[in-house]
Amino acid sequence: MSITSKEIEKDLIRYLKNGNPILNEMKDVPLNESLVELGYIDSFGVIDLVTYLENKWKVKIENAEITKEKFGSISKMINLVYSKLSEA
Amino acid sequence: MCGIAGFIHKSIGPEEAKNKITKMISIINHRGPDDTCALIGKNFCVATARLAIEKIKYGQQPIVDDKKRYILSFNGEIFNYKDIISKYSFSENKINSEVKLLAKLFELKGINFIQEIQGQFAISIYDALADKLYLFRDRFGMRPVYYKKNNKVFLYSSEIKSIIAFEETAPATSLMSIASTSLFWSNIGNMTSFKDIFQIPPGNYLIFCNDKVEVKKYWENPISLLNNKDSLTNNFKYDDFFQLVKDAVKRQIHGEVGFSSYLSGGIDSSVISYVLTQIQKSPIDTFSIEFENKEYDESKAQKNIQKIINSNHYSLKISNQDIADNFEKAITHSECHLFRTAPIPMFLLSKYVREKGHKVVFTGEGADEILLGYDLFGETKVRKFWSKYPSSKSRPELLKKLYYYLPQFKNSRYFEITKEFYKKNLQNYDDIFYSHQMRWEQYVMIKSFFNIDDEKYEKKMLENVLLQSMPKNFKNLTMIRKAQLVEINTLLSGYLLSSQGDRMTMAHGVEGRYPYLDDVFTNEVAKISSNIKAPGLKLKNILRKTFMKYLPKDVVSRPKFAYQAPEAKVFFDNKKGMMIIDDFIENLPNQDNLKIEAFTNLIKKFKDKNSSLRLGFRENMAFIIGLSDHFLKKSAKNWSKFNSTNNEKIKYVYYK
Repeated sequence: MSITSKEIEKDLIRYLKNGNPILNEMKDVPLNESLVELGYIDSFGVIDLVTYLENKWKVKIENAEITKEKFGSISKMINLVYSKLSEA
Repeated sequence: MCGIAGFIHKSIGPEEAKNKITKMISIINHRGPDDTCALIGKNFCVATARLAIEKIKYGQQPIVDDKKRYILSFNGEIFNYKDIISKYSFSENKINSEVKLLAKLFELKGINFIQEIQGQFAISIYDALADKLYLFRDRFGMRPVYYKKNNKVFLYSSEIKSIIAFEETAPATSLMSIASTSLFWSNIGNMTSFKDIFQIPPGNYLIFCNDKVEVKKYWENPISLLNNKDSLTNNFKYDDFFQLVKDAVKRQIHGEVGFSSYLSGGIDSSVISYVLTQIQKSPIDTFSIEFENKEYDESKAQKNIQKIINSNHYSLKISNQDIADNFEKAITHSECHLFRTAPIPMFLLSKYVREKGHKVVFTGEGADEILLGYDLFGETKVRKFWSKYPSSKSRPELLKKLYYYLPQFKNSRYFEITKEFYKKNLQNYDDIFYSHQMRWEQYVMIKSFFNIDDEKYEKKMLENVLLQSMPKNFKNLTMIRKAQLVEINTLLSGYLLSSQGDRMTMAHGVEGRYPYLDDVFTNEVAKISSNIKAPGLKLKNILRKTFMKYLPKDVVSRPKFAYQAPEAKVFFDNKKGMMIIDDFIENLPNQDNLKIEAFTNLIKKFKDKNSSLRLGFRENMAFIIGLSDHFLKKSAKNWSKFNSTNNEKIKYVYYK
């Protein structure tokens, strides 16, 4: 297992920042808060994020995982992807 | 339908005046390719490019009235033209065109003549005796009038490009327009996408006299005059409503050049096409858009209704590249910031209509606003219902019913997160714009792509501007009636009838007819309770239930499928699109309204091969607004250099 959770984090934040000038200007991106609640992604944006993570890391995110509990913040997304990569 | 343009001046010589008016009218020749005439006077010049539809033989414009006092020019249709003639017992031989009727009626009633007129119009009346100019615009804003006053002249036209061609200087694009389009999805009030150029708001008129501009409202939307409870609720008859629809369609069959109809696959245009077929008693010509991208395509529903009405059907298939290819052209006609690509297929469709020999096309705009068809009305109800019990599992499920056609709802895997998005501010009832909270919530994000950090572009400030344009009793109206008025004053007049309507049809000399926005129809429908129009989540039920008798169930009961077109990604999946992007990137350093880094990053995201087919809603919107700003600037430069070489078709008349 060569990919670290830090790498996933870095890549995800870069991707999010590309589509979001407010996040881009932030020094500390909120890792533990809900991006939807903060207003940083819209409902189409959720699909985009799931698609991006699946394509980028070649993982399959299950329906039951696209919830506030498992997918509700940047940290949760990282953990989800990282755990899948570790299992692989 | 025509294009009109004119100016009032003090110091321009006759030769220059002729050159200026020639430029102004030639640049909008697409609006009226049939004949062009310019009147040149000492202080006032006006010209009309005419698309001959009614009284073809007699309707030449501009006209000077018998007493040589009023000079009139007019773009549009007066649907109660014959009723007015008989009401006032005018001589049909003398009053043998709509513009002559307007002259006679204005002479008789002054400004109040406008209350008698039903239709879609922009009217220019110059009173030579008082050196006073009057400009009137129809109630919903189907026909445009733009104006600008500088130190020397007052300019006006059906399109902005005439004003820029006159001035020979390209104006800056307006940051306020970017802000308004990002928030409301359209310009509002008198604003346009260019600095110091204004539009007359729908239902308003303008007077220019003694170097002063005065704009006044002459009409209040009946939705605000009649609140939700009224006598029609108890004894409502669907057969009467059928007659209302039929009469509205009938009234708008006006002119000597025949008609055709758009057929989107939804109930609104299906009903119109059905009624038109019944009236004509023979098959009509219908036109549709199909998309190569199946996510947006409605061709199956279109074919269903086509078979029933047996129309001569013409369908135009649109690819992503078609949208990218024609984006710039469409911007030169929309003349404003677009927030989505949906006008481009309409631009191509009107071309097709014209190629098939039609000048008139019926279309279903207005039905969703007037008869409560939008998902937004349902969303407002669901959110209010959900807000009473925010932890409910079943209440947010109702959103799935409304937005079944959107990918985040279609695929149930996204719902758990998607609902969080709609849960925000659920109980914020104090917000006068409760219905639009979710949509306008996006503003903060979209605005971060542009240099609109100043306080005057804040959401609250813009909402106040909108509130000022609303009827005085707005606050006392029901949530749904408020939502209707917001839709009408923003998206309908500023976008659907304009950027996606008049400007796209008139680009090819085709006139749209909007029976759901007929003056008599909208007055009558406003009296009907919202609970009949849309009980619960049965949106536009009034129309569905009425036509159940005449059309098959799958047509009548088909839930709303909002017309959309593939968005920003159309520029990233083909060569032509990528060339546009390269040009855009190259020009980014000169884009003063756009945040360069934000756009550079956004383009990276669109290009990212791992991104989804659609990306986020706001990212698409910001991108389309930014790209249209680029093309608006380019267009304005071209218009400022416009030189008409083809003047021999123009008839010039000089008057003293």
